[in-house]
Parts: sequence; C-alpha cells; structure tokens
Amino acid sequence: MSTGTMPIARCAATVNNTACIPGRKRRCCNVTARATATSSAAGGRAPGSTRRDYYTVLSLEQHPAAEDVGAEEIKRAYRRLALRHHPDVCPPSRRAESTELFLELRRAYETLSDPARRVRYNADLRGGTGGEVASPGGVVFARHVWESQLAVLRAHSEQRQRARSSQSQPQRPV
Amino acid sequence: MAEQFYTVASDSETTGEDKSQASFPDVAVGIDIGTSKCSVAIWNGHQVELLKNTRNQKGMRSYVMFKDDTLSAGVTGGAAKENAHEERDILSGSAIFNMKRLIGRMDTDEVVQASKTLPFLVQTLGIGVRPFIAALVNNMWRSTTPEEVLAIFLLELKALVEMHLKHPVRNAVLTIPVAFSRFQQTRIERACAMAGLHVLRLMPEPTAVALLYAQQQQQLVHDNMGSGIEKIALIFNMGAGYCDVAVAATAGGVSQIRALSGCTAGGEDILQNIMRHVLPNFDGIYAGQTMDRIKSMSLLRIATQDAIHRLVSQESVEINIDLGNGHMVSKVLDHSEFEQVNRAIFDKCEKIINQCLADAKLVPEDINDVILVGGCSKIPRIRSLVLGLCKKEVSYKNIDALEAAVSGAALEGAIASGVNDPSGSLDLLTIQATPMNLGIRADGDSFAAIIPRNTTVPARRDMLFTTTHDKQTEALIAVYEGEGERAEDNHLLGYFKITGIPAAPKGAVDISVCMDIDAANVLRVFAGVVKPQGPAIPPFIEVRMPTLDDGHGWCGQALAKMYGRILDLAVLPKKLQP
Repeated sequence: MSTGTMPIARCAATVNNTACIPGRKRRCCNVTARATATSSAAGGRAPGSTRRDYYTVLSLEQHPAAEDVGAEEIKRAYRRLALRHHPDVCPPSRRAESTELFLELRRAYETLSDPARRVRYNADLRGGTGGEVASPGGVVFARHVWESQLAVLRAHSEQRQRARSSQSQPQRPV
Repeated sequence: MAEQFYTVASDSETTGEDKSQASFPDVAVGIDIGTSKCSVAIWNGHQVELLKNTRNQKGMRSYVMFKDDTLSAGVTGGAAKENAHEERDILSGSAIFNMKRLIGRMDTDEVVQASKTLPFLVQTLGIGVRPFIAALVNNMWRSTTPEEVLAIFLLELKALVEMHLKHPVRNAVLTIPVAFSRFQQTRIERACAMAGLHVLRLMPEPTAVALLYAQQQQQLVHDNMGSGIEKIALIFNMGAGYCDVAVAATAGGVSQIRALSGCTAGGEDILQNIMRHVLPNFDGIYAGQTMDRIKSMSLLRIATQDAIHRLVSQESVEINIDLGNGHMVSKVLDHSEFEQVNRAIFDKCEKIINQCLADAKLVPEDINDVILVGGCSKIPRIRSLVLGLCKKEVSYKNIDALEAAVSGAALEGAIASGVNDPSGSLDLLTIQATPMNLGIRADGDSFAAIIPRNTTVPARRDMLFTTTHDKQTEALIAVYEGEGERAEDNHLLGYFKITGIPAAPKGAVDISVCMDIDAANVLRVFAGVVKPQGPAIPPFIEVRMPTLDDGHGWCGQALAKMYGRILDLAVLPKKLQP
C-alpha cells in the first residue's frame, strides 16, 4: 500500500455552466469543465472516470505536453482560476459551489506544485488509476457524508440570507 | 452655562468637507479598531476613502468615556481641542480604553494582570474567569465589560459612517490581530451585533495590508504594461497592543498568504516598561486606585508617552515630573537605554518574523518588499530590526503606516459585497491562511493537529482515529486551537461526544474527524464512525466551533477530572491516513 495517499478530488454539487448573471460576467463562476457530483457506494471506490485529473482542474489539459508544464505556469493558472472561483469573488448564492471548486483547485495546485507528489501523480495518471491512489473505503464514505451535510447547511444558510435580504429591501433609503 | 465637554455627533454637525459620493447601499465598510486608535473607510465607487469625524480626524482614539451618566466614545472625542486635555480625561478613571487588549481574556492572562495598574478598575481573582472591569462615574465604580465598551464605541462609529453616507450601514469588515483566538473573535462579533453591525469578515491586519499591496501592484502592471511577475512581501504590523507578521505572494491581483505569525506585544508594553524604568517602585506606589494615585499615574503616563514619541526623532529625551507625595522623576533617556529596557519585546518581534519566514520556506533574499505598518513601526529600533532580518535597506514607501489596514479592510468589504468596478480596480483577491493549528486531543494529552497553521482558507482536512479501550462505545472530541504540543497548552474551543460506537476490541474501529473552515472563517467539526459500517452505526455529528462561552481553563480541567482516559482516542498511523 502506498504511504503517500493523495487527497480525493470531489465535488458535492453539480455546477451549472450556463448559470451566469447578466451584466456581471466577471463574477460568474464559469468553469471550463463540468464538475460532477458522485455517489459513493459504501465501502467501495469511487469510479475513476468521474474525477477530473488535476491538469484539467487547472485548465492545463490543452497544453501539448501537459505533464511538462513548468511550475510558474501552474502557479499562474492557479491564481487566474482563484480569481474566478474563490468564494470571496463569487456571488453569495454560489458560495457553496465556489467553495467546492476552490478546494479542488487548491488540492490540484498543491499536488502539482510539489515535485515529488507530481512525479507520483503523473505515474498514477499513466497507470490509469484515474489519477488517485485508492483510499481506504471508509474515508470515501466519511467524506461523502460530511460534504452532503455541508451542502445542506449552506443551502439553508443561503435561503435565510436571501429571505433576509429581500426583507431588508423595502427599508432601503430612497 | 457650563461648557458641554462631550457631545455626540448628530446630523446637524458636519465636517464641512462632505466629499463622499453616494455609495452602494450594501457595501461593507472597513473598520480598524486598534488598541489605541481606530479608523473607518469605505469604497466610494472609485477608491477607498477614509472617513473623518467632527474634528476632521481620520484616526480617532479608541475609548469610551463614562461620565455624569452620559457616554461618549473617542469617535467624537468631545469638544476638547488640545490633545493633552483629551489625554488627561482618558486617564481620569472615567474612561475605558485598551478594550482590544482586554476583550476575550481570562483573569489569569498576563495581559490582564498588566492592566491592573491602568486608571480604570481591573480586578482579578486568578481563577480563569473574566476580569471585573469598572469605570469611575460620580465617584463610584460602575462595572462594564470590554464587549460592552466596544459595542458603545461601534455604535458611535456606525452613526458617524451613516451620517457621511446618508443611509443605514449594516455590514462591516473588521481587522483583528493575527494572535486573536477564535474565542476572542466571537467576542468581537458579539460586540458588533450589539451595535447593529453584521461582520462580513474578520481580517488579520497584515492580510488587509496584503490586499492593498495587491491592488497597488495590479495598478503598477496596468500602468507599466509589466509582466506581472510574482512579488513576495513581508508585512510587519505593530500597534499599541499587538505585533503581526505575514508573508504574501502577490501577482495578477491575487495575494496568497504564505505564512502568518503574531504575538501580544505593542506600544502599551513599551510604555509600561519605560514607566517602571523611570519610577522603579511603580507597582508599589500605584497599588490600589485612589483619586490622587489615579491623577499621579496619568501625569506619569502622559509624560512617558510623550518622551517615547520624541525619541523617534531625537537622540535622547528628558523626563521631569512632580508626581506629588514626594515622588519626583528626573531622567534622561537615550536610544540604547530605551532598547535595553525593551529588549524582551524586540526579541519577541524577531522571533515571529523568523518563524514567518521559516513557515513560508523563504530566506530573506526571497523578499521583494518589506512593508512596515502600525504606530510602532516608526520606532527606529523596530525599523532596523525588521529591515535587518529581511536584509533590506529601505521599506516599501507607497503604503501609509496608519491607514493601510483600514484601507485593505474597505477593499475586502467591497469585494466581499460583490461590487463590480469597470476599471478593474477590484479584480483582487486575498487568499487567507489559518494563523494557528486546529485539532483535537488524542493519544492521552497530545494535540493532534488536523488543520495545521498556514493552511489556505477555505480549508477542509480530516484525520482518522481509533478507540483506545476494548469495547469502548463513546469518544470525547475536545477541539483545541494553538501551537502547543500538549492539548492543555492550547485554547479549548469546545467538545462533544461520539456515542454508539460498536463494542469491539480496541483499534478495530475507525473514527473520522473532519474540520472545515469556510471563506467567512466559520469552523465546523464533523466526526463519526467510518469502519465498520452498517445500520447500527450512529449518524455523523456536526458542531460549529467555538461552543464554549467562558471558563476554558476550568472546562478543560473538569473534563479531565470527570472522564480521565476512558473516552480517549488514538491517532491512526500515518500510512492509514487519507
């Protein structure tokens, strides 16, 4: 068993590519690839085909030789995407999705920025394991549980926030 | 008619320079309440604007006067015109100041102990409860709390802002010291709630400066059509109460906080050291507040403060005071003596700078800019210390030492409020990091850090644990924050139990503990059994932290006394961790 288990890239919600607010393009959470919610069988491994590899997460998959991309370009890609996906720069209604995206972005950046981890990651990628070393089954289950709970909590929080902001509308000065 | 010394700002009073444009009604204001001074700023549609009070001041004193049954905060500062007059009033026993130093602290804290010689009343029992604080009103001590004082202050600040903007203000971004625990942060949020303000973000002060720096670099790239290469800035902030350091990597408008470090050391400590140096029996003379001692103390404090300020630009200063009751001070203070007396403070500063560089895995040569902010950053010894450690001759010039933090907070307020600026001035982002380790107690009294210090926020990390006793069916999850190796050396945030663990030989059950920090810095802990699985397994527990409101020390001891080791967990070996 590998001693350096890498984090699992996972999104708890489906991101809708077309949901953009007109007139506020800069703040839209555009993604270049669809992030898919996965369901994990108890004790089983998540199917590899549903997870994006880290080069795709960083929008570097179009590079002629993605695995040879330099550290500086990886850093630049990370910053560019952070400016679009960080919860601070996304509309509050999309905070839950943007948090998931940013966490995934961060994992991809951290893995590909560490030369040793990157070498291991590339080898796994070539080996067709979907880019991830298999984790103990229970961990997949656990993460799915709390990510679901988080998604529900955030949905409730956003509902309350919208309700409150709509109530405060009439009180705004003319 | 007697002169009205203290007035509260009202709509009839204006600064005569109302240049503020109509701002977006829902934009969050930036507030920097320092231990000594405070300021407030807002994005006015084009740039950050610092607001002025009725005395045309951007920097206002941080205090609340409790006098003759009326309250007035330092926002307006009353009608007094000379600085010395205001200073004497602040030190009369009727004003509470240093609330940022006192908020969220227990009476065993050395900062609270050092505050007992302040002119207002600070009483401690030394048992880990909140200190008793009171102000002198009509010759009686009237009790209050730092949160209440801060709320009163914020109310006046809010009124000032609303007067300028001509509409209600609801959201705010406040700066806080890096060293603030999560418990202290909840106290700040509560004071804001009492004042009718919703805290959008609590921003460590040097990271607010990092955001301002990112904007300036962005502007530079625009103006010069530069390549926008990454720049590393070390930001050193030292005010009256706290000292903070951050290392930020900035490019393309994005400032990634690489490391944070902070401690409780500031101008107040320097002042206390010098007062005790020029008056060796300080603590004996001023034990117990009597009217003449309060007055005498204020004379000493004002004179010492003045001497320290003059020492910034002079080689030596004279301190001559008649304190009454036969106590005289007549002394010449020079730079070397000043540095000798405050050596411990400068050592503290040096330590956190070195720690910050080490955490960021950088050497001094990697630093492009050194940014010095905060009132104490003007002290020559501080400047030479920081620049020396970073091997720089000069510091970054384009940021005002006293306005940087509040300007950054206002920028963050605009960004987090979703303001869109067509010129691109707000295409900015500060990616925050956690200042302290977060974890739980495990393996006896060890501290298992689940989210280590300097992890990028938002953050989500988990760790696997297992039972320590055969047939153990419950586990105590005690959540701590801090830098110590032992759980007890850290700050207890809260606790809960996992129940219904299947009875099995020890080590046969896997328990996962996940910690999640969202972009607003809210911490949640999730925990539950992940192996074995089945219908008999209890649901996961989710707890928002901190849950403790008071008595951290007591609570930790009580938990240990009640449960001992029977509910302990052990960390699973590294190779089994996710």
